[in-house]
Amino acid sequence: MSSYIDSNALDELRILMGDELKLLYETFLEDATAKVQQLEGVAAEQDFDKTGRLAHSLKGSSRNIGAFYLSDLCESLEKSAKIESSDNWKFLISDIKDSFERTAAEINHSILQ
Amino acid sequence: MKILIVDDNKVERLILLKVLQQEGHQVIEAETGTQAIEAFFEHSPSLVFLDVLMPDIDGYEVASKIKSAENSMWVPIIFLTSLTDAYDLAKCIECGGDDFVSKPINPIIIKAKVNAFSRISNLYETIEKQKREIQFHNDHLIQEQEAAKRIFNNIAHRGCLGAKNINYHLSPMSIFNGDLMLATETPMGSVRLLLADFTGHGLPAAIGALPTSEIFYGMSLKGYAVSDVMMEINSRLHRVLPRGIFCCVITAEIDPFDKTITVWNAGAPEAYVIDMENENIELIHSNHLPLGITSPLNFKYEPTVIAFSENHKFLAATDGIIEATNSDGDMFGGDRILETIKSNISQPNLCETLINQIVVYTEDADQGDDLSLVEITMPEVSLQDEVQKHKSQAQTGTLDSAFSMCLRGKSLGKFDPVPMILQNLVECRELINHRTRLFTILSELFNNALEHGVLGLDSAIKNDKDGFAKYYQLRTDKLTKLKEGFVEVKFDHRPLDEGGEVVFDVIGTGSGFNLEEVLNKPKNSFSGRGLPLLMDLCHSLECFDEGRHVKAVYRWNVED
Amino acid sequence: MSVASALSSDGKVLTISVNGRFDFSAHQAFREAYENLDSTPTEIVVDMVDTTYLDSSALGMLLLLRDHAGGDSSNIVLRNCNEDIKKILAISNFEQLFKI
Repeated sequence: MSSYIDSNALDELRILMGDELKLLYETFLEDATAKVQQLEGVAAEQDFDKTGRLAHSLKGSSRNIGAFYLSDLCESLEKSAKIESSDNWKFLISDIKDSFERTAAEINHSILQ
Repeated sequence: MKILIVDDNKVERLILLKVLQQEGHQVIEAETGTQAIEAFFEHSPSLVFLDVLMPDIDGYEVASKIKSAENSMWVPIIFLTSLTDAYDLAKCIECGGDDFVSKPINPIIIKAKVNAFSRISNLYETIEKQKREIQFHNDHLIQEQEAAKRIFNNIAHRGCLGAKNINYHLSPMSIFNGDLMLATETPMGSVRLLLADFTGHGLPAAIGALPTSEIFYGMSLKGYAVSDVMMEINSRLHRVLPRGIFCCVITAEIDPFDKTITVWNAGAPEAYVIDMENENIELIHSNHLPLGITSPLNFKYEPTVIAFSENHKFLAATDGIIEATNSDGDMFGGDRILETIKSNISQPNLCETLINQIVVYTEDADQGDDLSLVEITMPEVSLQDEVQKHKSQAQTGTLDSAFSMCLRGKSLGKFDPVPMILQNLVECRELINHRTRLFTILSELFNNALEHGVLGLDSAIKNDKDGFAKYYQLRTDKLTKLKEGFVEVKFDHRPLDEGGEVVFDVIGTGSGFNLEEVLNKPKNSFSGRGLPLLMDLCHSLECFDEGRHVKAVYRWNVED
Repeated sequence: MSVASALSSDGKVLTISVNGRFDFSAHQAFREAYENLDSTPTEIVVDMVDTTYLDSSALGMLLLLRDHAGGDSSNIVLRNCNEDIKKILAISNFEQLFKI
C-alpha cells in the first residue's frame, strides 16, 4: 500500500511528541488547508513571489510531519517560482491539491482516529 | 537554559518546542520578527533559534537588531534554515548569527547544537565573571593606590619644591616608582634638597618614603645638620627596610650666606654643579653605599663643598633618565645628559630641556612618567621676612627659665648642641616664630667659639675659590684630634612687659678674637659675615675676656 | 635571562652564573641557586661573564645573597664584570661589600 506519510518519520514523531502527536497533525492540517487554498489563488494570478513563499512554507511543514511526496511537489513549485516559470503550474497545483487531500485523508484515518 | 524559538510555522515550532522541553529547557515562542525582538528583551534568553523567512521582519534583521542591542552578555543565535544556497547561509553569519541548522528539524542535531552552545556560553560566563572579578580587584587596587598617593603626597610634598629657584620634574605616581624629592628651607636660611630613589616598584618602594621624609623635614626644621639627618635616615632605613631594598640618595644644601653648595651622593648617578658663566660642569660622584645597607657604625658622611653663586646651578636626576631606552635598546646614558647640559648651559629650565630630549630620543611621550629630576639655583635670602608657619598661641612654657650646657674635648666634635638648646628655648611657644633668628644667633655664637676660639681657625682661608673645601677639611682634622677645650652655652630667658629677652652667654677656650677688627672688614668679604649678622639680629652684642666670652641679647615682642 | 649554579666537588665553592639581563625577572632563579644547598659553601662566586646588564633590583638580590651568606662575614666574589656593570657597582659603592 502506498502511503502519503512516511512510516519511519511517523514512528520517530510518535516517540518525540507522545500525547501531542495528534495536536501536531491537527495543526498541520489547519495550516496546510489554508495554505493550499491560498496557493491556488496566488498561482492563478501568476504571483511568483507569493507562490514561492507559500510553496516554501508548505514544503517545510509537510516534510516535518513526514509527508515527503507532498513536500517534494511543493519544492518543484518553489523552484519554478524562483526562476519565474509557470509553464507546469497547472499540473503542479492540481497534483499538490490532490496529494494534500490524500495525505489529509490518511492523517484523519490512521492518526487522528 | 532559557531558549527563544522564532518561527512563523506552527508545525515546526511544535516539534522544536518538544525537542527542547524534553531536554529540560525553558522555551519562549515567537511567531514573527517583531514578537521575537520584544520577547528577547523581555525574557533575556540564553540562546535563540531563529527562522530566516518570516512574513514581517526577516531573521537577518532580527539577528542584527538583537546583536547590536546586546549589552554585556553574549547570546548565541542559531538560524533555522531550509536554504541551501551558500550565499544565503553565509549571510546568516554575517548579520550576527552564530550558527545554522537545516530544516527539517532533526532532534539529534538540535540537541547537539544546544549542548555545544551551552558549553560555549558557560565559558563566556566564566570569562565574564573573571573579567568582573579582575575589574573589581583592579578598581580596588587603583582606589588603594590613590589613597596611598594622597597620604604620601601630604607627607612628602609639603616642602618648598614650589619655590622660584627650583625646577623639577616628578610624576604624580613617582612615589610608586620609588622616587622621592624633598626640599626645605632650614632655620639657618639655607635650602636643603633631597632626591631619593628606592629600589623596586609599588608599595615596597614607597614604604621607605614615609620615615625618610618625616626625618628630613622634622630634623631640618629643628636645625640639625645634613650629616645628622642622613645618619638618622640611614639608621632608620637600615632598621625598617627589608634586605634587598635600599635607597640611593643625593642631598644638596645651598647656603646663600657662605655662597656654597654642599653635595653628597650615596649610590645615585652623578649630580651636576653647573657654572653657567664659565661653562664649567663639576660632577659629584657617589662615594657611599646607598642608605639602608650599612649599620649606623659604618656610616660616613663625606660631602663635597663647592663655591656657589647666582651663576651656578645644581642638577640631579634618578637613574630613570640614564636608563631611558630607545627602540634599538640603547640607553640615553650619562654622556648624553652631559652633552645636553653643555649645549643648553644657560637655559633657565634645564629639566624641561632634558625631558624633551628624552621624549625625542625614546620616541615615547609617556617616557617622562618614569623620570625624576630637579635643578636649583641660588635662593633669595629670606631670613628676616620668614613666612609665619606657626600661629602664636597664648602659652608661656619656658618663658621664665635658664639653661646651660657645656661641651668638652671629644664631645665638641661629635655633638651639635644647637638644635637641642633651641628645642629648650622654643618650648616657650611665643618663640616659635623666632626660631630661624634664634637658630642663627645660637649657631653663629657656637661656631665662632668653636672654630675661631677652640680650634683657632682663620676664616680668611675661605677667601679663595677652593678655600671652603680647605677650611672644612682643616676643621674636620682638628676636631678629630681635639682632646681638650670646651664651649659653654647659656641662655637666660625672662619676660618683659610686651614680650621677653633672651640673654646668651657663650664662653670658650682658645685665643678668642677681636670684635672690632672683624666688624671693620669689608662687607662683601667671603668670611666674617657671622658677627655682623649677629649685630643685626641682636639687641646688643658684647665681648669679654679678649673675645673668649660673647654676650648676646635678643629681644622679642608679642606682636613679632 | 637564565641562572645556572654549580657547587665544587668539595662543596666549598658555589658558582652562580647569570646569563643576559640581571633584573627582577631573575629573582626566583637567583634565589633558588643558593637556597636549599646540601652543604654550606665557604665562598660564593657570582660569575657575570655572560651578564649584559644589571639593575637596582639585581643589586638588591646581591644584598640578599650577602645576608644569606652571613652578612659582614660573607665571602662573595663578583667575577668577570663588564665595564657597564662595574660602573653600576661603583656608583653604589658595592666594592665595600663584595670582592669585584
